Amino acid sequence: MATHDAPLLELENVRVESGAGRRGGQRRTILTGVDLRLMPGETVGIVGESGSGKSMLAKAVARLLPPNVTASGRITYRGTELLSQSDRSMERLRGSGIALLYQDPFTMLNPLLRVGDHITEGLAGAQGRRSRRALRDEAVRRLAEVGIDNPDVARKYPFQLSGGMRQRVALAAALARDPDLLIADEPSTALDVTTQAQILALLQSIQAARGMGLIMITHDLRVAFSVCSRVYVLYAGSVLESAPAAALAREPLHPYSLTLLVSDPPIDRTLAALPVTEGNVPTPDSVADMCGFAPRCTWATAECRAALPPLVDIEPGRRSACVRVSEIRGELRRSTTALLVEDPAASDAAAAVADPVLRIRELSKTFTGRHGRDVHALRKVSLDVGRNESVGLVGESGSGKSTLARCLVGLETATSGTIEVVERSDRSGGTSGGAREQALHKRVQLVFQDPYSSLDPTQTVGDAIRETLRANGYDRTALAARAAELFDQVGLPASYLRRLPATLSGGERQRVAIARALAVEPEVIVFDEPVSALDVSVQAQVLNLLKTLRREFGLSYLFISHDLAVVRQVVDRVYVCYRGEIVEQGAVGEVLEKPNHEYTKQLIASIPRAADEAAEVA
Amino acid sequence: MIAPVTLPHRRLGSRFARIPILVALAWLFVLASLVAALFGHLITHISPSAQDPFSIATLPTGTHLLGTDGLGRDVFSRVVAGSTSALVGPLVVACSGFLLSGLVGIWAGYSGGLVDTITMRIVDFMFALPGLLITIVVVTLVQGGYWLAVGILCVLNVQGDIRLIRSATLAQRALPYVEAERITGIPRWRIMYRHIGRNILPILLADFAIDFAGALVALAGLAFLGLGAQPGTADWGLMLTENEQILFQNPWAALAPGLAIVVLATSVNLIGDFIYERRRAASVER
Repeated sequence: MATHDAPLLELENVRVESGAGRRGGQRRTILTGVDLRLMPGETVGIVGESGSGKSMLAKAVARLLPPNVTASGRITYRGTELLSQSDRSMERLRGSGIALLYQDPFTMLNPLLRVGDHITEGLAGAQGRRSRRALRDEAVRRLAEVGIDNPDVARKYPFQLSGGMRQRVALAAALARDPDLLIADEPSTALDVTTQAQILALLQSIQAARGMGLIMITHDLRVAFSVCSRVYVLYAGSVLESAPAAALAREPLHPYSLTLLVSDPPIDRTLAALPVTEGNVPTPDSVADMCGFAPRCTWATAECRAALPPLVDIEPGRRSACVRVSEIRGELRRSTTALLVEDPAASDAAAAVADPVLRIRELSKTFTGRHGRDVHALRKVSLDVGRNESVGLVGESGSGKSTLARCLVGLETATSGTIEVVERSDRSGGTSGGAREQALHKRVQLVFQDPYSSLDPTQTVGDAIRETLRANGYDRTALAARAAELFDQVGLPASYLRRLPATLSGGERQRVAIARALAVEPEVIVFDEPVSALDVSVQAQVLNLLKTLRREFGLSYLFISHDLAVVRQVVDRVYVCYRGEIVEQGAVGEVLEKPNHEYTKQLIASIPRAADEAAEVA
Repeated sequence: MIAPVTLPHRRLGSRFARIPILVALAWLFVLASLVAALFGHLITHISPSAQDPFSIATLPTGTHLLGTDGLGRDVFSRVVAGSTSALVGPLVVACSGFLLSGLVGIWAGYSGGLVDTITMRIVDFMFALPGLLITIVVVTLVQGGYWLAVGILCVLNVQGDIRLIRSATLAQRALPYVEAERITGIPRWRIMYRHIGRNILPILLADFAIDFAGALVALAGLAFLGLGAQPGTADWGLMLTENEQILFQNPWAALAPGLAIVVLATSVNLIGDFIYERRRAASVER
């Protein structure tokens, strides 16, 4: 860490709100009372769930807030107050002083500009006129800095590159004017696990080599711990805790930090149940005059709901906004391990499937491309799911796992191979000859990744459930009762039946999607990344729900995910999918602890250092 | 620092409070036209076809609010009476566009494959036809008049609508909610017309307004060329031609129907835009 005394960036009492500008509309608080300090060459993480206001913080610093959103307070960069700067002087500062790296490498680059031009565009303005040749050489040099050694890449267009490569290019472009502060907003979230690890390592090495300040904005504590020296925990628009990363991992001083720590599932064991924090992230305005976490906190008292607690120094370098921190400190420390109870039954999953409900044999799917370039999405995949078993399918994007799910429910037709669903003997197979495909995908249901688009936005969720029931020949007179019963099973109050999807949170919508799948009474439910679009504290709720439903109703799951830690928590056996082929399979504990295939080892190695491991190092 | 402008906290409880003044005026004018079309004979005390040989092409007076035309007929009564043909024809065209594009566009977009190919090739063919020319030729040859013109416009207008609705359907079809409904066994027609239809309703409504305004102008143009309403009927387009000759005796005789066409077409477009924006905003807010 650098030892200069003057901070590189300092935020004092920063408040960001929308609707306060000339255009009017409803006033909404996005951030309130945020203090932050970054020394030159320091790496700081801002961790928060969606709606915490973390991205707006980045935009406020760069003065790139959307219209109708305004910031107040003090933001000082190298002694210059930023909020009072003219747009023109901000323009000079962006890029050369403060640079931004965004989440989505697919939209961040101009599709009509070559890779080299993205970089030289920044160079040319900064250092006067230079010959084209010199610029090109410089671009190649800059690409080498971000790990792209092939000079031909400079002449390519963004669409010719993979997501990871694009993120590298975007990083090189952000660094073109040699900024001394880089703000990276979820730079690795849109990438595959293996690529994610590479990008994080790259960011870290460049930060160290250049000695620049780095603000890392992320929802993932593991990512923050792996890169940052200090972490700010943001919730509902205010900072709840700030601490050195290692200290936070060892001992959180705010109940919300604890929640973040423990709801991130561990990779090395299967828990009996994931520690759950009920409820959802509130809007800053709804908790304006109390501790933001009080409505969800198990330790909350009247004192917590009386006023917005300030961030106070607990020990050198550590600040917490919990008013009860001195009383509950010991309890918090114990909870970091006590809540993580291992499931004793988890290890003895049967290796062989006794009673298969889903049998896939040598399934292949080839997408015919132009000019004879065929894409083999699936190559002779064989997979079994036993009754009441939960089977995982892991792999990166492009490995064919989603294609398999789509073939199972009839959204795609496999090129060759067989899919067999064994019906329960006590169920009369009421399917007539003509409707074979229809029948197959009613016995297999799919829950999609994105709960925001998998429900019709114009229909109340109750109507969606009742419509599904009716379409599946359910008795018309009992529709309402059955819909309420299904909602009860997925943990939603019956009053929610009248709501439109837009009024529900992501986790609640995913519960509705699960209820809809249950309404069809399928033999197998396929979950395609069901929690990857959800916040960590909500993710745990949904994962626990899946475990409970399986236990109570004897359901069988095929659980598709790229997240090995999540898979570990909910499946018995796992298949590893790589480029359309199953490369490894077995009981989940065995595969994750003793991987055989090179690819599986790579997947496991690329998980960011988890909290407890970081604690061991410290 | 960006000074946070402190505005007095406005309560915007009522929906009407947020309707811009221009849109309110547009609604007012459309309603006025509607009232004129339905109850016009109650408003005006002079029959639109009564000729007064003693006051020909006079300027506005107390009895003749907008003066009289070349045959001594009251211009105000004729503008009021003309609102019937100005509303009915375009309404028929817009409704047929709404229904046909809704039915065929969603069907083609959702089904894809051969259905889509055939539909779109027919649409392409219709696009290649010079629509206005065909209308002029056919109406001239058949001596058809107003309703034939309306009928031909219905047919020629629908291609653009179908194309628009089809592409909107394609965008919806790729969304997970449609796939989820397919998987859970919701009947095809329900997915198409209940779910996709409801979701693209803002586009259908905006399209309805555009069709209406387009048909209004097209019918007026045909009438101006003598190819729409029969001579003698009170029709805004026809009045433009008839009263062109007396432009210097009573300019209001031609200006009033001309203005009515422009204002009604603009109003309907504004309303269409407003409804589209508001509904879209409602669906984006999630």
